[in-house]
Amino acid sequence: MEGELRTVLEEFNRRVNENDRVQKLIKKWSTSVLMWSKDQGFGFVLNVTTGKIVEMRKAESENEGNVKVVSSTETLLSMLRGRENISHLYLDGVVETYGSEKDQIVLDAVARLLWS
Amino acid sequence: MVLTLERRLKFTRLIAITMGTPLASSVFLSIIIMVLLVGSLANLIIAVIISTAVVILGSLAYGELVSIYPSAAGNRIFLKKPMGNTLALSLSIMWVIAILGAAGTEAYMAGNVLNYLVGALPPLFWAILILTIVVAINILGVEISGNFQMIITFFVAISLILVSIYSIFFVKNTTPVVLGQLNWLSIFSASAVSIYFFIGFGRVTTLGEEAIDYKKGIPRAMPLGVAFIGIVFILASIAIFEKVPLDVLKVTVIPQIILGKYILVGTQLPVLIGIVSVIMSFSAFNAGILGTSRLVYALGREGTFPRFLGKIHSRFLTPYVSLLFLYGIVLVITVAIFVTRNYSVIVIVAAGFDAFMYGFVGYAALWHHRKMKKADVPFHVKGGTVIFLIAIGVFFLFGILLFATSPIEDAIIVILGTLILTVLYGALYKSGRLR
Repeated sequence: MEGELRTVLEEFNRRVNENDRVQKLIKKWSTSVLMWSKDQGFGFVLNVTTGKIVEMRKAESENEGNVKVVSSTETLLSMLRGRENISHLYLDGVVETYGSEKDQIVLDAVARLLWS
Repeated sequence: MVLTLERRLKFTRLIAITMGTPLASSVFLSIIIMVLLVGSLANLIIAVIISTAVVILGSLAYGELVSIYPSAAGNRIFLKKPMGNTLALSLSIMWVIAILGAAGTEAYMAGNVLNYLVGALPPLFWAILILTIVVAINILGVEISGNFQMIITFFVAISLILVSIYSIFFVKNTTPVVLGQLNWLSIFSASAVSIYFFIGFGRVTTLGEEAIDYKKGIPRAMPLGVAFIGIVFILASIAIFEKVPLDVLKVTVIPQIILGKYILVGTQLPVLIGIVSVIMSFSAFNAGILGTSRLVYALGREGTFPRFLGKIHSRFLTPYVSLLFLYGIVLVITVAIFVTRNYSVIVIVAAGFDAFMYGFVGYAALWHHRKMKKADVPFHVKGGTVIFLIAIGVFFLFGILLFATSPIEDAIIVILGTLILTVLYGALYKSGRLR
């Protein structure tokens, strides 16, 4: 499961960095995002600098990252592949999101632009 | 050591957030309605004590639910399993409408206070100006630091406590005030109105705090924040009851400033109270509009609301369309209050609906308390079954009593609004246009 999430995240990172619409939107956005699997107890941190995901590394704990997305591995995979709408998952309480309102909304907008 | 200090500061901040939205200056309008209802000081004191105690029970229900669904979209997800998707959604939207109504009342109060302080231009101008500033700040994405907000909240609360204590214990009453006879119908009716004191305390549950805060911090902070609000407004209510004559109260919309005029004649105290009042309005607007914009944005994104509400600003990265949409609704409500000069409809509708909403949340907490394993509930309220049953009973009683003793249009707004939303979303879910 960890390998699968890493692969999906790498593909997600590539798409974010190469998508012009996403880049235009988040060119001033710098933060760190933790994707944490609560059923498996592992996660990855994505470091974003001026809109580019410049680093991805395995998280040491669930306390890292400015904005956190916590769910089951299956839901995270489904979300990162664009099969589930983050807003829908948030409203349904399936994913837990922690961090500033702004960071959470930007993350949601990135997902929407990638798969719209 | 440092970590302990940080956690304490964080916990204090959670209490401040709980208090931030309810600590609005439109509460003084609900105090007018309450004082005119109670008839005696004893009734007033008991009414506020009862409502504070019951809202504390309600906050325990919220606490248990938020520990199960951390960072979720509040009421909707709490109600979804026990009551079904359609009703949960309809009630959540009605709750947003109640909050927007309260924001309109707040603008009405802020406009009148600024007119008193600055004069020159009419209250409606000031109301629109303060609303516009708050929305512009939110669209521009200017973030006010959590610690600054905490300082402002405690400054406001302590200022109100000090002014009220001074008024109650150090200023002689012009006419003797006695505790008076108890009248339980008046007490419960006034208690129901004073639910307005606590509107929006649950905003802290949707803020995106750390996970640990949801499991322990927020559930513990909410009852303390509610108790603190109760203390602030019980003192403010007593001070207004004792010092502002009923004849004056019937015609004013700024009782807090009138109180200042009566307790320190010839000083700048009314101006100081006015400034505190404007700060209260500003913070309450900011919290109310910001808190509901995220929900409206997310509902737009998932298609429950029109999709244009899910847009974000490409430069400021804020949900500007949902903010402008909320701004438009609050503006219409504000103008309507200024034109009709009738704020009591909104106060009673908001208080009454909130009472029912807390009753439903109590039911949702009871449902989860009984169905879920104790180990799966991080904040498991001891004696939850009894506590939640009391909360459900009293909140529904408050809601029914409030609408039964108020003009019929108040009940019609709530019943019709909920019914239309339920039928509309029921049809949309059934047709498969929403999932």
